[in-house]
Amino acid sequence: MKADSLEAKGIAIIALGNRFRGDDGVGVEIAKHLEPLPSGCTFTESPGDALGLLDLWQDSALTIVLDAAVSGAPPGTIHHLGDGQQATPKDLARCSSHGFGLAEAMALAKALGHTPGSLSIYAVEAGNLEPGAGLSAEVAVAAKAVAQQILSQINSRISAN
Amino acid sequence: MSRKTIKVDYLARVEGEGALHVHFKGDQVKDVRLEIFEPPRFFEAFLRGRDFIEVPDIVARICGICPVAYQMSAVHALEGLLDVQVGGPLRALRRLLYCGEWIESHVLHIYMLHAPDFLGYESAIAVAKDYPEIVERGLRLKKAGNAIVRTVGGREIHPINIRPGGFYRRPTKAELKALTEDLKWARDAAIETVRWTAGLEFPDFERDYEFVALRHPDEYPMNEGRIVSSAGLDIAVEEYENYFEESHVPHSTALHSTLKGRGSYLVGPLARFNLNYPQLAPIARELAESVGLAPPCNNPFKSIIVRAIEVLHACDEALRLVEHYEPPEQAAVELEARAGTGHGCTEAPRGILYHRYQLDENGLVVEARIVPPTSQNQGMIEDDLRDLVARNMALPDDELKWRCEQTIRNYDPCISCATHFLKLDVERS
Repeated sequence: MKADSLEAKGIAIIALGNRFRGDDGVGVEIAKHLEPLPSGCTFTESPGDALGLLDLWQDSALTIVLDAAVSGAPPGTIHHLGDGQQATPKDLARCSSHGFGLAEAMALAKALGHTPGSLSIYAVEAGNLEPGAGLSAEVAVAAKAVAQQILSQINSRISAN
Repeated sequence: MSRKTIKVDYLARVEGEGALHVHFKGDQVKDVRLEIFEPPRFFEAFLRGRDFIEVPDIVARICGICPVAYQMSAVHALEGLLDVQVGGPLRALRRLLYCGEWIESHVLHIYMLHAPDFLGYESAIAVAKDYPEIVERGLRLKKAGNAIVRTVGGREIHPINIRPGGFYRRPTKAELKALTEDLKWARDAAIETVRWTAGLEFPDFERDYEFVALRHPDEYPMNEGRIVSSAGLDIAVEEYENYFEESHVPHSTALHSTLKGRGSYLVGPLARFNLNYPQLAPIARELAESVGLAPPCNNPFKSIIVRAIEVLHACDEALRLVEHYEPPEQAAVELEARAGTGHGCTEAPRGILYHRYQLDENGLVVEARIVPPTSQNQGMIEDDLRDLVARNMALPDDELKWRCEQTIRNYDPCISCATHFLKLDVERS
């Protein structure tokens, strides 16, 4: 892909999560460390319905999704999923549409052929998901590190093009 | 490209949590408990000391699916307190915004959560593999709702254009007119959705509910009305706490809401439909009749058809509002802070949502009370489950779990089963 078409389609950075549930707000915090956003990047906070992701990533050359993860790893652990890697839907027989998340959006996009051009997911292992604003210390440190990784990824992508 | 699967057990989504416990003793159902964590409790504390102007932006954060409902109940409560009437085109814009949220939320429930149950699939993703055209129709229909919320509310999720007294910015006539073609398509798609859902097979399961909803003399209720019930209740919003009470139950962080002296009641689409049928748009009423749906509908599984009827009503109403829109002279009515207490109640997609605010003389929040539809329906969900389990206790645990989940999906409660998806804990003693 030429640099100008990358510029034209742009890079969408999307933060999932609820900033009032502790470490679930890590995506927004990572985005703050990315400011000012590099040229060609847009940022969207998407704390609700993950179905919107299917539209948000449709018109982007690269979509970077930021989220919290709960996998049993130590808090602050950075999970990175690149193209071709799929987060595993939790339990498809859920009882509320409020639980439709990134993994489900990815699976639905795949079933319908609406996958993004290129997808990069950064998820930071959460330690505290209790109501209230603010990140736990390990997650706040990881948020800065993720921002650095994203900036490197964007820069190397631009120079490669 | 080689494919690699990495299992991140789950990515966090934590708007709320739910778990269900069923306890049998011999062949009797001893106990059914639905545990729900509810975010409003946290927000009530968080709001204290905030300026009343900030309230709509804060309460929008309570729910990612129905932020407009929280904003609307808040602005009505605050305007009541400040003795301000918001009418004309500002009122019409609010109704249009609410139509957008009903479309988004109902379509999400119908296509992504509820329909797979009746089609024999475990999820919408599985449906999408075999019937992509059905899921695509749902996605496009939902986008029509998104477009309304984005245009009037400023953005799709957690709209930022709403304030007590009106809006921060008036949409132009051209901006609303641009919604017309999509809404015309959406209205046709809603008609197809009604016909499609009405053709599904439903369990033979009816219960004797007391339905509670708003009622307005001139319109199907969204923003305003009196609180009425199928058992004769008819009160002003300000009287809500004289007739309804919330109580702590030991097994849940949520409060259970009951009608004083009467017990559980049901709010949401079934209640609205049964109590306000004559106010539906003619196109919605005629289609309901043609598919054999008439009040009273007491089968909670058929709420999927009622939601589709409400989507059709919302599309039709939105088209009418867009067509007749004349921008208001001012984006908002001027407000002056003063001390007092105000009450608001609007029809969230899942049912009535009650707010009460007390402000001091500087307009700072002294106390906030928020009663969401899910806590009002929680007692009734448990009653449904108790009845269902009693009728099906011979089933293996896995199958019983599925039936219980299906019953909860009728309500699509404002809980996130994503972090703690329904854990069915069956104890047999």
